[in-house]
Amino acid sequence: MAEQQQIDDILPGDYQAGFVTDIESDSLPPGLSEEVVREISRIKGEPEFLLEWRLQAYRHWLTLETPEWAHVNYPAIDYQAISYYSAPKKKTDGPKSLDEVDPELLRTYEKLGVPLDERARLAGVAVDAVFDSVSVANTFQDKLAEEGIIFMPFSKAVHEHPELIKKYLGSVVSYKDNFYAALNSAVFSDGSFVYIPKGKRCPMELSTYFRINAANTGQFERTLIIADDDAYVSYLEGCTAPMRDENQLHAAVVELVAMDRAEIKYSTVQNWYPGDENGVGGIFNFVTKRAACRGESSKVSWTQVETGSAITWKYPSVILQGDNSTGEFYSVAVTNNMQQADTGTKMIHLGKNTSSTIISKGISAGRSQNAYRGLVRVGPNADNARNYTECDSLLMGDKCAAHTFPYIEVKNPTAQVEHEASTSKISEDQLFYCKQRGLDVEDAVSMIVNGFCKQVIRELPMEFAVEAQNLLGLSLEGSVG
Amino acid sequence: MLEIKNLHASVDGKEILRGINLTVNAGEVHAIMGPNGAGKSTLSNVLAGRDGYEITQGEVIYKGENLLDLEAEERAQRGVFLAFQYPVEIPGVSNIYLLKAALNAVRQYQGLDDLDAIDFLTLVRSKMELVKMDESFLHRSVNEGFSGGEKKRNEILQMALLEPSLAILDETDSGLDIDALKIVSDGVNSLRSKDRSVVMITHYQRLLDYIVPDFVHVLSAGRIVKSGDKELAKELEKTGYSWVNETAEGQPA
Amino acid sequence: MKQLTELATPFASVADSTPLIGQQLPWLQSLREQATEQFKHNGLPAKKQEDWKYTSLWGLSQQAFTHTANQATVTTKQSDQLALLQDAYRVVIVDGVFSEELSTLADLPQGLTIDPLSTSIDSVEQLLGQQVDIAKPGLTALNTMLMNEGAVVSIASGVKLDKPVELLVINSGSTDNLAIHLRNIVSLAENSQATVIEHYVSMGDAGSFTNVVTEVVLAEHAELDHYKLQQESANAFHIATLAATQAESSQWRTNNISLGAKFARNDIQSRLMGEQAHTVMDGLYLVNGEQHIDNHTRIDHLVPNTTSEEVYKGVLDDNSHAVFNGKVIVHKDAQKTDANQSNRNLLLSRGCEIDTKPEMEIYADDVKCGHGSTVGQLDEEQLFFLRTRGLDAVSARSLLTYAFAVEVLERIPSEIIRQAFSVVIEQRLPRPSVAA
Repeated sequence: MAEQQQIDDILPGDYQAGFVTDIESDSLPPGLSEEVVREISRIKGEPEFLLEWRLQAYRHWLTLETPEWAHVNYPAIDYQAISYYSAPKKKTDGPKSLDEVDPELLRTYEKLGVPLDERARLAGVAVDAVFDSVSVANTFQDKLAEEGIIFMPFSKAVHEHPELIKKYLGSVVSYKDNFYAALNSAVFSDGSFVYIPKGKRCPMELSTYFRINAANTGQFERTLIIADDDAYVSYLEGCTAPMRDENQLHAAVVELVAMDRAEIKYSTVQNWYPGDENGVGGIFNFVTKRAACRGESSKVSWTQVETGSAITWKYPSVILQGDNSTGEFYSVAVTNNMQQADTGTKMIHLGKNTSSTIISKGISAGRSQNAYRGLVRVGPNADNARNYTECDSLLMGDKCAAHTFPYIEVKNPTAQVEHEASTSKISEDQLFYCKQRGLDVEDAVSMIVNGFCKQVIRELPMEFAVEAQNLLGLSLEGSVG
Repeated sequence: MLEIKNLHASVDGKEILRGINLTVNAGEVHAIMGPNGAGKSTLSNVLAGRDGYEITQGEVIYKGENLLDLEAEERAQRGVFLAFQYPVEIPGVSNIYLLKAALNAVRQYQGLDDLDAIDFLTLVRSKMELVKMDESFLHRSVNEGFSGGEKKRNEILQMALLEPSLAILDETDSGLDIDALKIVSDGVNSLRSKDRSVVMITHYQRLLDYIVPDFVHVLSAGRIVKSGDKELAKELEKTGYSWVNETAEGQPA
Repeated sequence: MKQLTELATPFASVADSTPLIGQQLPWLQSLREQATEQFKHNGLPAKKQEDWKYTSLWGLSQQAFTHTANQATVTTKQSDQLALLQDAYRVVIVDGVFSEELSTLADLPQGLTIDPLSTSIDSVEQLLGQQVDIAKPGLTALNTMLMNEGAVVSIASGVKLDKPVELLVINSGSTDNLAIHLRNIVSLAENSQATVIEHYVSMGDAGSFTNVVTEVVLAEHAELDHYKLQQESANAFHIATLAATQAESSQWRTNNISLGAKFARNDIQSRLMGEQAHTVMDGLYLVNGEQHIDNHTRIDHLVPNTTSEEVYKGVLDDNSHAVFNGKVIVHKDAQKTDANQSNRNLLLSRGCEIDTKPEMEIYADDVKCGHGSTVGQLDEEQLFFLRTRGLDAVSARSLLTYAFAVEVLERIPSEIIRQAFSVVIEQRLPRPSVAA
């Protein structure tokens, strides 16, 4: 099969974020125990209530078993072999300004194309950079504070706004929710905290860049975003990690709360290291993301472009509690080589006149497995609920697989739920047409795939959309001969 | 037959009809023309009794009764017929079943017995000839898999069978090629009588070459801005609708 | 809920106290022993198992059943009235026992054999148990332990049947809470053609438990139109497994119409093992009151160039609960598979619940697969249209509900059978009469 040979020649797609930053760090030795949980809390100087909460989560986690229902296969994780805390060594309690940030770190983010310096100001994006377990740089805090908007590392918010943390932490994703959420709740180290006060539109995109650097380290970040009545925020999240032969665990929890008429737009470009073409190394990305549309007419929109990770297990969800609230999920998931993805969403309709839209595009290449798993649930009181789901898969090569597992549960006769799914290979006609017009195969594939994903990509903020399009091209390089 | 007085109607709080006045006497054929968005389809839907329209002012008297008080089916039983712009497909319901159910509903209102199977079929066949439809259409699901022209012919077939007093044809010419247009027009013309009134709603003058109206009205921004005879339609054909909008803006409410 | 292994015990003791067919056959004894072991080990499936997520057998486990039927009298006239078709080769089983006098098997054409399982058990070793897996969570193991009757239908090579075979399974109501375990085998040799109807019906409203497994084998170029009509009493438990293997260029059209029973579960599977094989798997469920119906279908495309089409529709009223799960699996190398599935549901009242899950698992790339699933109400545009044609709102609704349901009959090639089914559906969903 010449075609297959061609594919193999060009694979793997380049993972351009695969370098390691040579930087000294303080890490806890591998292992997990109540002592470790206490130690993390002590290092961060946390208030008593948070330590207690972590300990409850830890004790609950001990009673849980690893979930096995997802369509993914991986060797059992040894939770005692992971270090649960790693931070770049620093001189003071935290950088007061970018001048105090280790220049090596700044260079790291520079290489990743994340603007932490002057360029950020030009780009108009406020950035929180999380390196391994801690936030290393957070720009525009002061300017946002003038508007009453809080955007700071989670660990700092714990000290400055403990009442908000106490009120909202775990209110959307309880530590009892699932195995990884419990683990995260026990050992989470940092993340971003956002609060948009009543009536405020956040004047710029807020963004967090997550970077796993240290070896044998798990990353357990916790993000909490609250949009109070009539508030609006658009939040972006990017993720990268070095190429290493070991698998690394990333178990984040993201909680969003939208009050009356508030809107949160949450965009992710996930490009964790996917492992090599034989499936060695890569990040296990086991993430719990959930939003509560608590207020009436509130809206939450998740957009994700998932190209990285050895395994992705992730279902950004919306609980539509408020009447007239809206949930959206736009997803592109690309798997190549030995990657496995089991991703989708849950739309839980509880309030009246709630509506949700799900657009999922899966692209499988190489020997990868790509599954959409989604739940649309309409409760007995959710009169006039509406859902529209469109779920398309594209297959490239005869060794990959694409799966669709939509769950639809309706207990209200006024609901209208519509689900459509299709699976096919990349169109020969389209490829030929492009080639005949002079495009080489890779450009043709990239163009067709971008077209296939357009409904999702166009939901991303401009600067992210460009990055996402480039990533799609890179991840699939050489998948079709 | 039909008297529309100062009719105002809104959809989702937006006023579409803003004071329509129109009298249609028995035996007359009226054409209502106008640009897109003038309210043409709203008028036909309001007359037929579709949900979702709020009547904020005015009244519609049909054969001495307040039409707006009646349910859609009550209007149909009293002889108001709407030929749909986009005829609805109903999988699982055969055409012949629909024709029979509709005819029975009208006859029951009129205090007549249902037709027996043979009389019914004879009647249907004669009407099918009128619109040149093949008998196989009777056993197919309503409009399912029909071409655009077949759907419109099917509407006229239903009209021919139900023999309404007031027929409202909503953009019946849209999507028809010239042959189909001729068949449909012949069907309508053959139903013209001194007891039957027709209100034709159309964007183009073309249809009026085949079904010649007694009166032509121009609808714009929810009001009738000009009325005349068939010559008005020809004028519109030449000048387009742009002048109409200006006129409409200038008029007091 | 833990697995209900304790239920295995009372059923296991049935085997000791009831005379089972074929006890002298070593292969059958061994099969039954394996099944008993499996059933004791697995027990009843529990909600924890993905395939039983929305359906609990708790109610079944709480009901005591008898395996011994009282004497019943069903007259030929009654049997005729119950049957779907008058002109068919009819096999009648009453309360789990083959009835020779009610069956019309006297003049079978050359190439068609129909036998009760009880008299043909010694000749089915090659066929029995080939299509089903007793290790899977479900009641196939229990069926294998206790099967005591059924119909064995074979069509010889090249034979095309002139009329359908109707397997009429009657619960006479003479025995309260009677449990029966039936095993049917339908095999079509090369180039043969047949229509087979499985028809389950109750007289009266006694409680009952029907546990049936039907195994179907289609040889090359064979064509089977298969229908299952379930009209058991409102106190009945009905659990059915239907599995077919299709060889090259064979065609299997099956239509599963569920109207009755308090609790019904169907597991239907087609395995496309030869190229150019084609499956049509349609179904309809009309449920009301407290009925629970669960249809699990699975189509396995195992070789290149096979196709499948599936349409399931449901109308739910009152406090009923329906579950649909449709799996389409395109195995590795099954290129050029074309598979389409749709499930549409109409919810008529507060209190009903639908859980639907169309699934695709695809391991080949050159495929065209799609599914759609909807939950909703009648179309407002259609309702308005009918009202402008003079039908009142209630009539328009009932007409559209009926039309929604009968659409699943569209692909039935036989006009007679389509008519018979539409009459049955109309009894349940009356549409306005237009009779002259």
